Amino acid sequence: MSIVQSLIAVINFRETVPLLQGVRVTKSFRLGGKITQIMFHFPPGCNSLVHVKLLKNYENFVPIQGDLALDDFTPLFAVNVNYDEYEPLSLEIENRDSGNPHTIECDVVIQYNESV
Amino acid sequence: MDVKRESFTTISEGIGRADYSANVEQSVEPIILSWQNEYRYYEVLPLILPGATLQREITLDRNVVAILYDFFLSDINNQDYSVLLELWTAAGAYSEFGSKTAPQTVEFHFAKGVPNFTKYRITIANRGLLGATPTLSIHGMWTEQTTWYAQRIPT
Repeated sequence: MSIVQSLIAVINFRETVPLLQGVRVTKSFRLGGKITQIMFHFPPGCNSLVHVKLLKNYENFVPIQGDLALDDFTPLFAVNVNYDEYEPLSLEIENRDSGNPHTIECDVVIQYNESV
Repeated sequence: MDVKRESFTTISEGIGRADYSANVEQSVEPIILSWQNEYRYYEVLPLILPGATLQREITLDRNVVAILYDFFLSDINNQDYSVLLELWTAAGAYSEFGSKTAPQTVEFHFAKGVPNFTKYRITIANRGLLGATPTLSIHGMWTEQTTWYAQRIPT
Protein backbone atom coordinates (compact mmCIF):
# COMPACT_ATOMS: atom_id res chain seq x y z
CA MET A 1 0.00 0.00 0.00
CA SER A 2 1.54 3.32 -1.03
CA ILE A 3 1.28 6.48 1.02
CA VAL A 4 0.84 9.83 -0.69
CA GLN A 5 2.67 12.66 0.99
CA SER A 6 2.04 16.36 0.45
CA LEU A 7 5.40 18.05 0.27
CA ILE A 8 6.85 21.40 -0.72
CA ALA A 9 9.79 22.28 -2.88
CA VAL A 10 11.39 25.73 -2.89
CA ILE A 11 12.92 26.81 -6.17
CA ASN A 12 15.56 29.37 -5.28
CA PHE A 13 16.96 32.03 -7.56
CA ARG A 14 19.80 34.25 -6.31
CA GLU A 15 21.75 36.26 -8.81
CA THR A 16 24.35 38.98 -8.48
CA VAL A 17 23.95 41.10 -11.56
CA PRO A 18 26.72 43.49 -12.61
CA LEU A 19 25.92 47.11 -13.37
CA LEU A 20 24.04 47.73 -16.60
CA GLN A 21 23.62 44.01 -17.16
CA GLY A 22 20.62 41.75 -17.32
CA VAL A 23 20.26 38.05 -16.67
CA ARG A 24 17.53 35.50 -17.29
CA VAL A 25 17.80 32.30 -15.28
CA THR A 26 15.47 29.39 -16.00
CA LYS A 27 14.85 26.49 -13.64
CA SER A 28 12.23 23.78 -13.37
CA PHE A 29 11.04 21.08 -10.99
CA ARG A 30 10.64 17.40 -11.84
CA LEU A 31 7.13 17.01 -10.45
CA GLY A 32 3.86 18.85 -11.02
CA GLY A 33 1.87 20.50 -8.25
CA LYS A 34 0.71 23.95 -7.17
CA ILE A 35 2.70 27.13 -6.78
CA THR A 36 1.58 28.52 -3.41
CA GLN A 37 4.04 31.34 -2.65
CA ILE A 38 6.46 33.61 -4.44
CA MET A 39 8.92 35.82 -2.59
CA PHE A 40 11.26 38.44 -3.96
CA HIS A 41 14.04 40.20 -2.08
CA PHE A 42 15.43 43.61 -2.97
CA PRO A 43 18.35 44.60 -0.72
CA PRO A 44 18.78 48.23 0.37
CA GLY A 45 20.60 50.12 -2.35
CA CYS A 46 18.60 48.95 -5.35
CA ASN A 47 16.82 52.31 -5.38
CA SER A 48 14.16 51.00 -7.80
CA LEU A 49 16.83 50.63 -10.47
CA VAL A 50 16.73 46.83 -10.57
CA HIS A 51 13.79 45.51 -12.58
CA VAL A 52 12.67 41.97 -11.81
CA LYS A 53 9.98 39.68 -13.11
CA LEU A 54 9.17 36.01 -12.92
CA LEU A 55 8.01 34.15 -16.02
CA LYS A 56 6.20 30.82 -16.11
CA ASN A 57 6.54 28.88 -19.29
CA TYR A 58 8.19 31.99 -20.81
CA GLU A 59 5.11 34.13 -20.17
CA ASN A 60 4.82 36.98 -17.63
CA PHE A 61 3.73 35.51 -14.31
CA VAL A 62 4.62 37.88 -11.45
CA PRO A 63 3.82 40.57 -12.22
CA ILE A 64 1.42 39.89 -15.02
CA GLN A 65 2.40 43.22 -16.58
CA GLY A 66 5.56 45.32 -16.18
CA ASP A 67 8.09 44.43 -13.50
CA LEU A 68 8.98 44.94 -9.85
CA ALA A 69 11.61 47.56 -8.98
CA LEU A 70 11.81 48.11 -5.23
CA ASP A 71 14.32 49.00 -2.50
CA ASP A 72 14.94 47.29 0.84
CA PHE A 73 11.80 45.21 0.56
CA THR A 74 10.80 41.57 0.48
CA PRO A 75 7.33 41.21 -1.06
CA LEU A 76 5.57 37.91 -0.57
CA PHE A 77 2.77 36.82 -2.89
CA ALA A 78 0.37 34.01 -1.95
CA VAL A 79 -0.91 32.30 -5.09
CA ASN A 80 -2.69 29.10 -6.05
CA VAL A 81 -1.49 28.24 -9.57
CA ASN A 82 -1.01 24.85 -11.18
CA TYR A 83 2.56 23.86 -12.00
CA ASP A 84 3.33 21.19 -14.59
CA GLU A 85 6.34 18.92 -14.24
CA TYR A 86 9.47 20.44 -15.77
CA GLU A 87 7.57 23.65 -16.58
CA PRO A 88 10.23 26.37 -16.95
CA LEU A 89 10.31 29.16 -14.38
CA SER A 90 12.47 32.10 -15.44
CA LEU A 91 13.66 34.98 -13.29
CA GLU A 92 14.62 38.00 -15.35
CA ILE A 93 16.69 40.71 -13.67
CA GLU A 94 17.74 43.95 -15.28
CA ASN A 95 20.22 46.03 -13.28
CA ARG A 96 19.84 49.56 -14.59
CA ASP A 97 22.10 50.96 -11.87
CA SER A 98 25.12 52.45 -13.58
CA GLY A 99 27.22 52.39 -10.39
CA ASN A 100 26.62 49.14 -8.49
CA PRO A 101 26.02 45.42 -8.88
CA HIS A 102 22.99 44.05 -7.02
CA THR A 103 21.93 40.69 -5.68
CA ILE A 104 18.29 39.74 -6.08
CA GLU A 105 16.64 36.66 -4.62
CA CYS A 106 13.41 34.97 -5.63
CA ASP A 107 11.92 31.87 -4.01
CA VAL A 108 9.05 29.89 -5.53
CA VAL A 109 7.24 27.42 -3.30
CA ILE A 110 5.65 24.43 -5.05
CA GLN A 111 3.36 22.11 -3.18
CA TYR A 112 3.24 18.63 -4.68
CA ASN A 113 2.20 15.09 -3.91
CA GLU A 114 4.56 12.15 -3.92
CA SER A 115 3.85 8.48 -3.39
CA VAL A 116 6.08 6.76 -0.88
CA MET B 1 17.33 20.45 -11.94
CA ASP B 2 18.44 21.96 -15.25
CA VAL B 3 19.50 25.59 -15.10
CA LYS B 4 19.67 27.81 -18.15
CA ARG B 5 21.29 31.25 -17.92
CA GLU B 6 21.28 34.06 -20.46
CA SER B 7 22.95 37.45 -20.11
CA PHE B 8 22.28 40.74 -21.86
CA THR B 9 23.04 44.43 -21.48
CA THR B 10 20.56 47.06 -20.34
CA ILE B 11 20.17 50.83 -20.12
CA SER B 12 21.03 53.10 -17.20
CA GLU B 13 18.30 54.74 -15.11
CA GLY B 14 20.59 56.26 -12.47
CA ILE B 15 23.01 55.42 -9.69
CA GLY B 16 21.91 53.50 -6.61
CA ARG B 17 23.83 52.48 -3.49
CA ALA B 18 26.10 49.52 -2.84
CA ASP B 19 24.39 46.53 -1.26
CA TYR B 20 25.89 43.52 0.48
CA SER B 21 26.76 41.87 -2.82
CA ALA B 22 29.64 44.33 -2.96
CA ASN B 23 30.74 43.21 0.52
CA VAL B 24 29.76 46.55 1.90
CA GLU B 25 29.03 45.86 5.54
CA GLN B 26 27.83 49.38 6.06
CA SER B 27 25.61 49.47 2.99
CA VAL B 28 22.52 49.44 5.17
CA GLU B 29 23.72 52.29 7.36
CA PRO B 30 21.75 55.46 6.79
CA ILE B 31 23.65 58.33 5.27
CA ILE B 32 23.22 61.31 7.54
CA LEU B 33 22.61 64.36 5.45
CA SER B 34 21.46 66.55 8.30
CA TRP B 35 22.94 69.95 8.88
CA GLN B 36 22.81 69.40 12.64
CA ASN B 37 25.51 68.06 14.93
CA GLU B 38 25.30 66.55 18.37
CA TYR B 39 26.00 68.88 21.27
CA ARG B 40 27.41 67.17 24.32
CA TYR B 41 28.78 68.60 27.54
CA TYR B 42 30.19 66.15 30.07
CA GLU B 43 32.11 66.87 33.26
CA VAL B 44 32.85 65.09 36.50
CA LEU B 45 32.55 68.04 38.85
CA PRO B 46 35.10 68.78 41.54
CA LEU B 47 34.28 68.01 45.17
CA ILE B 48 31.21 69.76 46.50
CA LEU B 49 31.15 69.74 50.27
CA PRO B 50 27.88 69.18 52.18
CA GLY B 51 25.84 72.38 52.06
CA ALA B 52 28.12 73.93 49.44
CA THR B 53 27.30 75.19 45.95
CA LEU B 54 29.12 74.95 42.65
CA GLN B 55 28.44 76.97 39.52
CA ARG B 56 29.27 76.24 35.93
CA GLU B 57 28.96 78.90 33.26
CA ILE B 58 29.01 77.52 29.72
CA THR B 59 29.46 79.92 26.83
CA LEU B 60 28.83 79.01 23.23
CA ASP B 61 30.85 80.19 20.26
CA ARG B 62 28.97 83.18 18.85
CA ASN B 63 28.88 81.55 15.42
CA VAL B 64 27.04 78.52 16.77
CA VAL B 65 23.35 77.95 17.50
CA ALA B 66 22.58 75.20 20.02
CA ILE B 67 19.31 73.69 21.13
CA LEU B 68 19.54 71.72 24.35
CA TYR B 69 17.14 68.94 25.30
CA ASP B 70 18.47 67.00 28.28
CA PHE B 71 20.32 67.92 31.43
CA PHE B 72 21.54 65.28 33.86
CA LEU B 73 23.25 65.53 37.21
CA SER B 74 24.02 62.23 38.87
CA ASP B 75 26.05 60.96 41.76
CA ILE B 76 26.60 57.66 43.58
CA ASN B 77 25.56 59.09 46.94
CA ASN B 78 21.87 58.74 47.75
CA GLN B 79 21.36 62.29 48.92
CA ASP B 80 19.56 65.38 47.65
CA TYR B 81 20.98 67.76 45.09
CA SER B 82 19.45 71.00 43.90
CA VAL B 83 20.06 72.19 40.37
CA LEU B 84 19.23 75.63 39.02
CA LEU B 85 19.37 76.26 35.26
CA GLU B 86 19.71 79.83 34.02
CA LEU B 87 19.89 81.33 30.58
CA TRP B 88 21.65 84.55 29.58
CA THR B 89 18.99 86.75 28.03
CA ALA B 90 19.15 89.61 25.55
CA ALA B 91 18.45 91.95 28.48
CA GLY B 92 21.93 91.18 29.78
CA ALA B 93 20.98 89.08 32.80
CA TYR B 94 20.42 85.49 33.73
CA SER B 95 16.88 84.14 33.71
CA GLU B 96 15.83 80.88 35.32
CA PHE B 97 14.49 78.17 33.00
CA GLY B 98 14.64 75.11 35.26
CA SER B 99 14.95 74.29 38.95
CA LYS B 100 14.69 70.95 40.71
CA THR B 101 15.75 69.09 43.85
CA ALA B 102 15.96 65.32 43.78
CA PRO B 103 17.91 62.46 45.37
CA GLN B 104 20.96 61.11 43.55
CA THR B 105 19.91 62.07 40.02
CA VAL B 106 18.45 65.37 38.85
CA GLU B 107 17.11 65.35 35.30
CA PHE B 108 15.62 67.99 33.06
CA HIS B 109 14.03 67.12 29.72
CA PHE B 110 12.87 69.83 27.34
CA ALA B 111 10.89 68.17 24.56
CA LYS B 112 11.08 71.20 22.30
CA GLY B 113 14.55 72.18 23.37
CA VAL B 114 15.85 75.25 25.14
CA PRO B 115 15.99 77.91 22.45
CA ASN B 116 18.87 79.85 21.03
CA PHE B 117 21.16 81.50 23.58
CA THR B 118 24.80 82.52 24.00
CA LYS B 119 25.54 81.16 27.46
CA TYR B 120 23.89 79.39 30.36
CA ARG B 121 24.68 78.84 33.99
CA ILE B 122 24.13 75.75 36.13
CA THR B 123 24.17 76.00 39.90
CA ILE B 124 24.48 72.76 41.87
CA ALA B 125 23.89 72.59 45.59
CA ASN B 126 24.83 69.57 47.70
CA ARG B 127 21.98 69.15 50.18
CA GLY B 128 23.33 65.94 51.68
CA LEU B 129 25.71 65.05 54.44
CA LEU B 130 28.53 63.69 52.28
CA GLY B 131 30.97 65.44 50.00
CA ALA B 132 30.27 64.55 46.37
CA THR B 133 31.75 64.72 42.87
CA PRO B 134 28.63 64.43 40.72
CA THR B 135 28.62 64.11 36.96
CA LEU B 136 27.08 66.80 34.79
CA SER B 137 25.90 65.82 31.31
CA ILE B 138 24.06 67.93 28.75
CA HIS B 139 22.73 66.75 25.37
CA GLY B 140 21.39 68.66 22.44
CA MET B 141 22.21 69.65 18.90
CA TRP B 142 24.13 72.48 17.30
CA THR B 143 24.67 73.99 13.92
CA GLU B 144 26.57 76.87 12.34
CA GLN B 145 24.68 80.12 12.72
CA THR B 146 24.48 80.79 8.99
CA THR B 147 23.06 77.31 8.40
CA TRP B 148 20.54 77.77 11.21
CA TYR B 149 19.14 80.96 9.74
CA ALA B 150 19.07 79.46 6.26
CA GLN B 151 17.02 76.52 7.50
CA ARG B 152 14.53 78.51 9.56
CA ILE B 153 11.00 78.73 8.24
CA PRO B 154 10.33 82.42 7.53
CA THR B 155 7.65 83.89 9.80
